Amino acid sequence: MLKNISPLQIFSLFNLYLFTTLIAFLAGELIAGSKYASPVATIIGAFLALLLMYPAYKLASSRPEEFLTEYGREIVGSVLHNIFIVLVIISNLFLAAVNLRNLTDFLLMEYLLGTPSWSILLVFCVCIAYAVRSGLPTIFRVAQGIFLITAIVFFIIPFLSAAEIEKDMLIALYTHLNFVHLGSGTYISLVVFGELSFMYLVFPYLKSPEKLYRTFFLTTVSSLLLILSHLIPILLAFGPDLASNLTYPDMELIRFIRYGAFFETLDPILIILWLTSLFVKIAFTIFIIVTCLAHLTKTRDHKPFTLSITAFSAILSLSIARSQPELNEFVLAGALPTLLIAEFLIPWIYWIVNLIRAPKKNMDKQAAE
Amino acid sequence: MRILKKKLTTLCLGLLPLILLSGCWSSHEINNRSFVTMMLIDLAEDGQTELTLAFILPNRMIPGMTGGGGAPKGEPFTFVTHKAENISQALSKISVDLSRAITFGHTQIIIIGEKFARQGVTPILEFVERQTAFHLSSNIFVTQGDVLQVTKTPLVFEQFLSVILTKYIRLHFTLDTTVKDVIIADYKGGDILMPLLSFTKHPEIELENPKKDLWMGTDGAAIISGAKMVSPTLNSDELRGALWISSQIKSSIISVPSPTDGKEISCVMQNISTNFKPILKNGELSFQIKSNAKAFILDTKSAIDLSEGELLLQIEKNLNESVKKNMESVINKTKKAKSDAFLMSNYVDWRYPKIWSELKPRWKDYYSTRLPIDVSVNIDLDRTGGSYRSITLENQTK
Repeated sequence: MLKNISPLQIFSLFNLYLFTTLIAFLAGELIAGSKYASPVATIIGAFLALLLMYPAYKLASSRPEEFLTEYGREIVGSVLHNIFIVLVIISNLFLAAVNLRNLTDFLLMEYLLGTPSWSILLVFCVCIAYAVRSGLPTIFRVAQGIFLITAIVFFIIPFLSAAEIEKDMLIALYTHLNFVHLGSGTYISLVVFGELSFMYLVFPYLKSPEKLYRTFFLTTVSSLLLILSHLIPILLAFGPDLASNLTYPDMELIRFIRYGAFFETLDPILIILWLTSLFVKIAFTIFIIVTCLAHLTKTRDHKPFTLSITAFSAILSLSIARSQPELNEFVLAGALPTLLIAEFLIPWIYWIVNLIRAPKKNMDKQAAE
Repeated sequence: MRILKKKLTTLCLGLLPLILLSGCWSSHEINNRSFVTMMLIDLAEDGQTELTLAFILPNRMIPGMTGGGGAPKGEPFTFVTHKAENISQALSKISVDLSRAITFGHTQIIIIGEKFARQGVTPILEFVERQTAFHLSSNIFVTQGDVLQVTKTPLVFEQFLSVILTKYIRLHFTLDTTVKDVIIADYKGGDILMPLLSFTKHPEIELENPKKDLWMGTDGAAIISGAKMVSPTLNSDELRGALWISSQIKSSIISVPSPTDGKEISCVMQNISTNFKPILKNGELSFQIKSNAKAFILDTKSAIDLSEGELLLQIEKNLNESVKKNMESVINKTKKAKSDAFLMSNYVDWRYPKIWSELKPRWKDYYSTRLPIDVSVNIDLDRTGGSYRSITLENQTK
């Protein structure tokens, strides 16, 4: 086993992973539910996720050389373990399909009008399948390669659109805080940031597993900064009503940059940033699926599943919903709850059962000695 | 040999997706597209929606492309008009007449005729918001009278009409009202100000081209209440006041009477900024509008010695009063029109959400009849220009 995924690579991949999803595709939904409370809800959700994924980290770091997908059956028994792993696979399939669908919808609606979605999926999925087949270290290396440029561009964009910002609205981010609004945004943010916890499934790949939680903390803080640097300008430029009504509010923010015609038509640059970020995100998700499948079927290698699972995700993305509202409904009512179970509940069960059974095991060991 | 074969196969497989990336699928050739720079909307005599699109003609922009050498003949843009039940149907009629696909990605200007604006601008917002290519940063103007007067404007300084209009905005000659602003205003009751365009006949222009005889310029502003244009409108002076209130003006020249002999002193205002502050005192809501600016003296017809600090303070006071009067006149007009055109409702909502939820159903009435608005202006006149004493005064003392 190659233990060569460094903390920096984890930091890079998950930064791309987190801010692309929230800024590009979930900003509208987030603002629709949380209005002016969206920034605070995002912060609460992020740190709550960090807290709730601690058991997953503790559990995985108790046996850093082994895959939970393999030793999990020793903790909760084969039947429950298999059910849990299938749930993890399903939740990641949903995640991959939703992200693929978001990507094709965005390209079809804005730039590739008239192109069949299957052709976009075909080209994109060939690249994903190739990356997944190459293994987890390749995916992380890709993320590390594109992280810096993506982060710099994402960081600059809000400053260019500063002229459109209504500074007097800032106070509303505080005066409009209430539990009802906070709840909705916290839920979305919790699940998105919780996706970090899937690292518990690939622990043996890590170069320094003991530093993982610290990396998670740094990733959460840095991606939060980037997310807020877009979310707050979106809110202050469009207000919660218009922002939640826009399909891609961040893209509209870029279109508002008024420093000459070059910047006004800068929105295609988003394609490059979102595409590359989504590429590593989907590749990681599919890698989790194929690893789980390989361990579940006791196949030593994940490669045989790569192409079929990528193809399945692509087809699922086409059939998952008929329209954008249906997709949003599916994300909120179907994908997010399933993810919540896979990210937090399942590791919690393993952790608790492990805690209960560990003393008993030790006693049995001592008795045997 | 086997390794070489494997490498070659990998290379071929790697290059295969590039064939798919050539962009030939459902390609949108630039030669088959027509780019809309302006959208003109009005109400026809028979009550139908009249849509006019201004297209750029790239073939007339390149010398030698119109047949024969030399400079291209004709203007590098054209207007196409159609009438229909609504905007979409009119657009559909225009598109079937054209040999190219209509593209809204470069539309920067929307001009609404007075008749249409008085009937309500919501259909335009509905249309524009759904066109993904349409930029929400497009500016909106209203014309006094028929919108097609725009087409009779001669082009003297710029190649395109849309450039002239964009420059009015960039140079802060008129209000910067975008599609986004109007949509946001629509959520709060549809009150906003839109810049008005005026057209005047100039005999010297008529001589040059009798078909293009209307000189376009910025006028006042149309007051929109409930997404409909209402009376009265703001005149040119009040437009300055509106620009001042909304901090959309960078510099302005104001003339005030001299404290010594009442003759005119002109001052340049700079760094103009205005803040709105809702104040809640004993359950009563009021607004404070505070405006700050720096000023220097540009010109004087008065025999005045500006080295006397006291006189400068008096001029400063006159400037403050003049600007305050103008701002109050603008606010009173919006009150008269029952239009919260500066979206003060937003400030109440942001700072006092509970008070806003109480006032929301009766906000328009509250704004126009009960809301006390205190305007204060603080202009800092700190420079006298190149000299202290006017030439008139110097001559008098000699």
